[in-house]
Amino acid sequence: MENNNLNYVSINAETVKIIMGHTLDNSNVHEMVDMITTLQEKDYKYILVDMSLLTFISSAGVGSILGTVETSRENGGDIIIYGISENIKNIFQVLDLLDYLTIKEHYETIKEQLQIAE
Amino acid sequence: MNAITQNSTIYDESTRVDKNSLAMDALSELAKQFTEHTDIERLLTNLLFTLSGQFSVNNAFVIILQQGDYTAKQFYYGIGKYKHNELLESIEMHIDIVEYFKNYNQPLSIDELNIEGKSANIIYKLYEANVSIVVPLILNNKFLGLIALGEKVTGKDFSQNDIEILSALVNSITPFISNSFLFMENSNLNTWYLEILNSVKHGLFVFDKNFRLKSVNDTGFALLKNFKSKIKHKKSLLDISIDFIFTESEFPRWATKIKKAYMSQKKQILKNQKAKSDKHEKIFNVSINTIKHKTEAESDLIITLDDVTQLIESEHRMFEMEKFADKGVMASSIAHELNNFLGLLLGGVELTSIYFNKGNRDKITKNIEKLKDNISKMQRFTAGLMDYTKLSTSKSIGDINNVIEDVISFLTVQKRYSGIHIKTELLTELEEIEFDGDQIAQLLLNFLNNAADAIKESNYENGQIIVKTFQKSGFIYLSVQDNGPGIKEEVKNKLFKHHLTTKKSGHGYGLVTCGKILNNHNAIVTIESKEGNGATFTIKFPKDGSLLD
Repeated sequence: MENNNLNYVSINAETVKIIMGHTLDNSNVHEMVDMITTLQEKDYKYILVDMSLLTFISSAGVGSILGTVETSRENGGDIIIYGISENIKNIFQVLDLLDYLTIKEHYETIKEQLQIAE
Repeated sequence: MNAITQNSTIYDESTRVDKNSLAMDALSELAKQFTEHTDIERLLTNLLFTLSGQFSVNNAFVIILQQGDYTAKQFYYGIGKYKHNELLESIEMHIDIVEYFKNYNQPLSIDELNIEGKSANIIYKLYEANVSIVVPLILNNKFLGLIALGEKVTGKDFSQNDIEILSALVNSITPFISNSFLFMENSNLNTWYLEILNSVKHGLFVFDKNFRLKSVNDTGFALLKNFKSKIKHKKSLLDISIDFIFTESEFPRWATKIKKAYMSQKKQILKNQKAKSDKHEKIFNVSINTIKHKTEAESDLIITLDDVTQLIESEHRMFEMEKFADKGVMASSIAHELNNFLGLLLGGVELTSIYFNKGNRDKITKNIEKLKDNISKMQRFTAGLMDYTKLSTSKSIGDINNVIEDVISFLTVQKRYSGIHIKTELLTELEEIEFDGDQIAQLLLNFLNNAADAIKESNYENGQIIVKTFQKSGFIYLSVQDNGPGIKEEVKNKLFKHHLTTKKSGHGYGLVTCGKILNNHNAIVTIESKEGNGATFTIKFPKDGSLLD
């Protein structure tokens, strides 16, 4: 069964991780935006988005990330995406977003860069 | 700088196809959303997120005019930095910008915008907010609003391919936006009507042709709940038969009467219908009407309940007060009449005593006969009084003529009627009907007293009152005609309302009581009168006691 659930896990005072379900499209973009906005209001600078389960992202799904990423960057943080499949990567490439979005291959790389201790 | 760069795509043919197919997927997903959902804000922001992702922009907004009317309130929704943007939210549409966009009807870069006059400041606002491209929403030559996208996050300009995709996407989705707004406005209108219906003090029930409940307003539900405490929600009543809504135990014979009225397809009012439960007892006027849909052959049934319990109670109190007031008037009248009789009796006794001393046996005998006559008159007088003041409320079948004769025989000895000739023209074959004798006596007495007072107050000589009964087309008629001064037109329509009297020393309760008595008998009264030419009050009784139109 398709899992569209969104969950988040607080890693430390500055960093939080959103775990995506299988799809990000019109059915859950509002939930995604609301979650990111709430976390930004809670002063999380870095919002990590785990897309390892994600198999489909629509234009609206991409828009939900683009519409929120500036706020994090203005606050000295970022929205960092990781675990994306080749299909999802292809979409980001088609939309010419690979240089704009912060995309990392593995969570471990982010842990090192942000010096996250777990 | 020209924001739209011809052939500026950086992708090869295969990736271009992917971008187009992504747009097609987006369009298909959006169309599905617009047909399945009604939340206009959610739908429009979904559209903005889609355009944002498709064209790699952070910020986008949409302005929609109500039904394409630039003078009406407009809706603004934004995402990213445009979500809360006072500058953009302050944009107001004017006829010149509407006409401008209608002429172009395609996406325009901010550099291409060339608007003069009142709307020129819009360009300034768009520049300030870093808007890159504006797309008018036009359907059937109507300007519905516009969508604006911020700059691309890639720092690149919109390509010709972008413009074509954007134009295709927006043109395809505009009819859906228009439909959604029409739906929203329709829903708002329905909500508005429902609020009106729920704010009225009458209970309102709508049944379909099969007498199943389609709708009930808040007051109707509250009224019903008084008698059926187990009902929890309005919705639980929907599609329930009228027999279970107005149940026999709480609303005796309501359902039967309502169905009968519906069959006649005429507007009717069932007055003073009782409803009762262990805790409540109320009286309602039940209005029955029908309404026909354009698309349906059969009419719906509309029931309006007007709780008249308090009104009936206050009428009853007034009725009692009137009896009390009349008793006071009667007491002085009785004293006067009895004094007359006692004076006659005393004089007779004294005369008898004189004749006795003189041993005049004949005169004594004649005098005793006169005394007997006067005592008989007194008996009739007091008997009449007792009949009048008793005022029981039970109905029985009988001849109205008998009541009329009793009342008149009692009146003729009263001083009020001295100089007034009361004539009767009573139909001997009058059919018997069900009535309350005491109430009809009081009704007649009021009409007669009013007629007599009108004659006397106007100093009319040769006063005459004619009381008639007759029958016609299933109705019994009783009329009281006088040759007094008549009733002014403006007074005629107000008779039987509270506290209206034309008498110099009257209180006006009498005709209120008459109204109540008429109501109790489902009778109606008509008044014929011309100022200076007397008045005729005619009461129409249905033979079977049924309601009159």
